[in-house]
Amino acid sequence: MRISAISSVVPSTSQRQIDWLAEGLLKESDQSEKHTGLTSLRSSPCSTLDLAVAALQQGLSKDEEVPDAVIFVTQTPAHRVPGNAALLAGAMGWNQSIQCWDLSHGCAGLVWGLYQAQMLLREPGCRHVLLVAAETHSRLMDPADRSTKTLFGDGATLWWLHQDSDSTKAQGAFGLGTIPDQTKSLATDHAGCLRMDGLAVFEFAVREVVPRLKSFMQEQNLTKAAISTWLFHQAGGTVLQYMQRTLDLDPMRVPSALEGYGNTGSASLGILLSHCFPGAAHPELERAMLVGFGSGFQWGFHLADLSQTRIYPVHELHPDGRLLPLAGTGV
Amino acid sequence: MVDCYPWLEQEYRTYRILRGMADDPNLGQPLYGQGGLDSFALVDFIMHIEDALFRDYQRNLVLADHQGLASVLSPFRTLPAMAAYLQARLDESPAS
Repeated sequence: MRISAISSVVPSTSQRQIDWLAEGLLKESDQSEKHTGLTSLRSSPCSTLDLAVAALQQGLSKDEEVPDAVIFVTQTPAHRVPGNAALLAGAMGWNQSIQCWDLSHGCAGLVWGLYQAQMLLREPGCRHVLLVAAETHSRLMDPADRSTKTLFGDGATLWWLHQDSDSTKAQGAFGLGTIPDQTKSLATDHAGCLRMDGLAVFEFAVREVVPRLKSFMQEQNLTKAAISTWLFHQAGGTVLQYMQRTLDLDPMRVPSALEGYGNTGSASLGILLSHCFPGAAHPELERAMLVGFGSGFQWGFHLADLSQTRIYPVHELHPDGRLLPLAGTGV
Repeated sequence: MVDCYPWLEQEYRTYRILRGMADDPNLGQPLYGQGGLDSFALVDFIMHIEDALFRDYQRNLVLADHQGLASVLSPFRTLPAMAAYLQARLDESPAS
């Protein structure tokens, strides 16, 4: 599987710390940004479908082939019925027996979507896949719930995947798993609002994800030194710091993009790449470890070669429908 | 270290001052949740304790590792539970 292009779109409208102070969610003495890693995030009435359609109709990845399959990963689809994948194909005029897949996965969903794409690309008739991972968490927010409202943001990422003509190249392995979250530590309540027991989520990350990542590395005969860049789902500031500390990783190899975006669920890995690595060549991403984890409780690991992937900078979707590159991305 | 609780309590007070939180916390209430720290601050506090252990006792512990969190009840929900957990971890891995 070859990943040719990655683009990411966020709403131009934000929720900021000053808003949270005005709403009484934060106090002046709070230093929550030191913990969550952010003072603002994206929030908008647009849908996950709007974000993806805007990216495609306004030219991001315009050189790509019409896909044989669309995989849309989201827990906040535009409508309950039908799924986003078919709606996206319809909006783009891709009406020729395209495969449309909808996956309801959370923060590990991008990696699970890549796994689904790899399986599809093993079929002779499926040469090109578009993987979209998007969330509009703002639809799930209780305005009075500080723990979620100051953390979860909206965004989308689009990945173009192809059969790899170089059959000598080894396929990157996947490590996927689920420990059912029976206590609903990260789940919507009866009113449809997202609730989070942050301590339980943190303990899942360090008790389950970290040792499984270590086991995955051992199974693949990988050393930490062999990983050029660690790409973690952008869960939250201190959680990422602690995972990095527990794994004893070089901070220079662990980029972060929480500030200004928030935790965008399955979209966060793509937004992280678009924020930190816009461009056409990235030697530092030749052996990039993708680490997704979150609601479910699920995790997904994948060692990817993104060194030749065209990564577009983050774009903002404005209320008037324009899509403009976000200044200042790329670190 | 002979008794973790006083040391941990002092570090908790120090942490709250460092982070600009209200002093004189009600130490009987849960460390995490309503009236206590939120989850991100709690993780920050755990890192503060790990750093303080190294500073004061040259002990390099990862408190929230998968062995430490093997029990069903979290050791980080109250200060006494955390002190007992800290004591056990120190006892099982004496200073070299």
